[in-house]
Amino acid sequence: MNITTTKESLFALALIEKEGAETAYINISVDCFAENTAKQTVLFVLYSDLLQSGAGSYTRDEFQRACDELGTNICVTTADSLMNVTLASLATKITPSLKLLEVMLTKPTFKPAEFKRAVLTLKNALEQSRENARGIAQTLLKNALFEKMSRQYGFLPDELLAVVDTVTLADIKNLHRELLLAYWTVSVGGAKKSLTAGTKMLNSVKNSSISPVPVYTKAKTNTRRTVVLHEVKSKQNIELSIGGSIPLTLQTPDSAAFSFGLAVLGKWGGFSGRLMSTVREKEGLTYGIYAKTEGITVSETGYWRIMTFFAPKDVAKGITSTLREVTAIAEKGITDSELLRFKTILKTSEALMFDSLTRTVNLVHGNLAAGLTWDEYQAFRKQFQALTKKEVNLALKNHLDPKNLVISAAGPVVNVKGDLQKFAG
Amino acid sequence: MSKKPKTVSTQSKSKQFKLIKTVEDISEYVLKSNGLRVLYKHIPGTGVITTNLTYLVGARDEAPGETGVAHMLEHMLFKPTKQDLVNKHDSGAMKFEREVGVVLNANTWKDRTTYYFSYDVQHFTRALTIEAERMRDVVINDKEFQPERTNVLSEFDMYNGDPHFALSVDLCATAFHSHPYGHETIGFRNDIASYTTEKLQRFYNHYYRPNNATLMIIGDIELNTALTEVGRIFEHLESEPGVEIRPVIDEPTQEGTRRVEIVRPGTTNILAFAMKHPGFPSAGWFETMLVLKLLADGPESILQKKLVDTGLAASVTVSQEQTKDENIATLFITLSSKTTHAKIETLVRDLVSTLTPEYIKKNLKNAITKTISEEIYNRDSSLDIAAELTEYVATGDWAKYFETEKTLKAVTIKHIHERAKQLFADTSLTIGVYKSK
Repeated sequence: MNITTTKESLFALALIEKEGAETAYINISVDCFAENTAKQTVLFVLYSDLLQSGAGSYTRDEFQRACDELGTNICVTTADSLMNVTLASLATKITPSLKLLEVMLTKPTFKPAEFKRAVLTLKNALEQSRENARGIAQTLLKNALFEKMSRQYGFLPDELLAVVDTVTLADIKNLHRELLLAYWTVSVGGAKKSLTAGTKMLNSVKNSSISPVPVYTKAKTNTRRTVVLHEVKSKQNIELSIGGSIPLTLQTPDSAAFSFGLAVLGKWGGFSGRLMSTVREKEGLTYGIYAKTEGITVSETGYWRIMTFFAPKDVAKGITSTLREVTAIAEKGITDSELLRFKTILKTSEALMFDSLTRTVNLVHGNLAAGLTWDEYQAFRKQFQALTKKEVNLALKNHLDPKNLVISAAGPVVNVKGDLQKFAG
Repeated sequence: MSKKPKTVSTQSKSKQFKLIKTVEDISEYVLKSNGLRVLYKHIPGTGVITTNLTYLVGARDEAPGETGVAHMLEHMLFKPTKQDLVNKHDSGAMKFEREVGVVLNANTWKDRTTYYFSYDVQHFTRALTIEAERMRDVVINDKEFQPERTNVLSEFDMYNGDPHFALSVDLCATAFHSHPYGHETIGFRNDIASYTTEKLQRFYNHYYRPNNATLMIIGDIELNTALTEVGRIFEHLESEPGVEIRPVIDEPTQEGTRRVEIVRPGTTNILAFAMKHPGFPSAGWFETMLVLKLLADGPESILQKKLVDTGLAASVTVSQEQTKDENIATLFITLSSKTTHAKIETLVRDLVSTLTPEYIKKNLKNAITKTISEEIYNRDSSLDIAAELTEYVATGDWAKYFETEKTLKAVTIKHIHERAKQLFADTSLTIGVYKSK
């Protein structure tokens, strides 16, 4: 695959060329963060629905039928104030697919009847998400780590439900204007013809841009270990998010070293991390336990997090084992053998990515949206291969503090509340 | 489905193998010494190979009291083999991932159990060696088994915390009286908590044999190199004469709508329609899929418009498994707080009758186009191709992998209209109610 990325004045563009590809993909991400409120979160979710609910002369149904007729998928989602638009098309249908995408982006109808429907369905969806213990555990972790103004701070379903009716159709239309004006990140993957068509459409849609609004992240100053609990009585397991904020961006010198060390602790996916080989394999306490950094870009800091779950009867034992591994890696660091192994592991995982066009497009796009061109990302990855054990261990010592982290648990916690509170500092 | 492939040589120089057949760009060989099947597909220039070993053993092969044993055994194949113990190291599979970073995993389903690696071409021999060793030589003892059992119980609790899963378990058990599709692959919790290493060992000895397995090799490796290595590494493994006999089970005819109810703490309320349909990859299986798409897939579908858009339901989803024999497909409706299970049941039955020939005529072509495109999107990498091919291998005819488009294009309005009637007939339906208290 041939990958190029550029940062233009109106958008950052990645082109991922795969000779003879039968499929084509376009990812567009737009950062619309202005303020972190429950209302803004709801506004973004409603907007992502309404953008797909009628455009130009198409009603919502007609637009969907036009996509189905081509075998094309167009999807709009939102997360952390980023709007994400994706298109998947057969290479042979890329031109008409792009026409549909263009009309959706430039001529959305935002009809009142659709607005009413979107509000109604969102309310029902939010009511259901009260039982999403895993999502709630992560939100409460972030809320214990960050001030409310920060992008990472989230809202629980009931907080969002309380403000759904305050959003107006005028708010939706304003957000759309802002989205068209904001700086975009766009990735196009496929055969050469698909890249040409995608770039042409982009140039016709995007003819102005304003400078991105600076985004501020403010971590709370926690000084001791904190436990946050949330009861979801229908679940069998207790979902856990354990972590802490980190003052690192992708450009901070020890960012690569910290990410590397965290991979040794709990590489996301597979069985190679220490947590999987001890807490799961040797002790049999959970089906899955992983660690990674989240929310970190070229300009924003984020947090590290362990994601796992335990049966209520094992939860105290499981947290004890997890904290033992965090303490061990923070205090004693990684070994020479782990340094060598994980250099190979990280190199392999990237090579395997190129076996898939979609995974490659998503990788390149995710990094470009975080502020890294392909060359910059490769330079970042090269740092992994040059790291020394001393650098990794110093980064872990500096940023992984087992005595000052947050343990967020959601699930059937009532009967084990006392056991869990004992972990607080 | 895919572009016409370039002509490639399917003639192996290896005398150890017999070519069974070639369809488009995939060829099937059998290792003469023990009956191991090999499917080969060349994808040059990627530097990546996926190997996938699929055994024809799954939840359907389990007796009452030992449900989940096929899945439990899958976990045990990541434990050390005799060779690993001699060499004093971790299990070969785990070591492979921990040293190299390959993608590895396994999954068990109703008709099959599958193990796969995706890796850089240089590791081909190592991947095959691990598969050959763990086909016969995994050491199943309590030291390895007991912690893994608690992991599987943790996995069970993870699934069981999902109301849809909990309801599925009861729907299967109610819909089938005789056929072993009446239990979910992971098994019942009490069974998982009680079986022994002896039971696992018996299962392993019988089913983990070369003549009960298909090895898929998909990626950047030449045919002769691939087969020569497979022959060298697998030739000595012994076949099992009785393994290919799988009893044919004829599920008794259903004589009326069956019902099941679950009550749990929480806020979720679900109504489910489980419908019996023909096995995969028959025309009837695809007709069922299309009926479900017209009813519940996407914003323009009947139930999305009438239930979700009106606020009566929070969501409408469907599930349909690719199993060899007749199975159930399930339509799940998560209710909003504004309605009741009884009202939605009546409404859904009415709405199904709006699936008229006129409606089908207007929407069928798009549903077929959408399905064919999804198939193409799903064949994105060697790993994805192997995963999809696995389901065809499990049903006994991998060549049908290439017939999906033809099968779909042959579906008519009448087929869909008749299929919808059959799916919602009393002789097919099991209705599930999940209530929160």
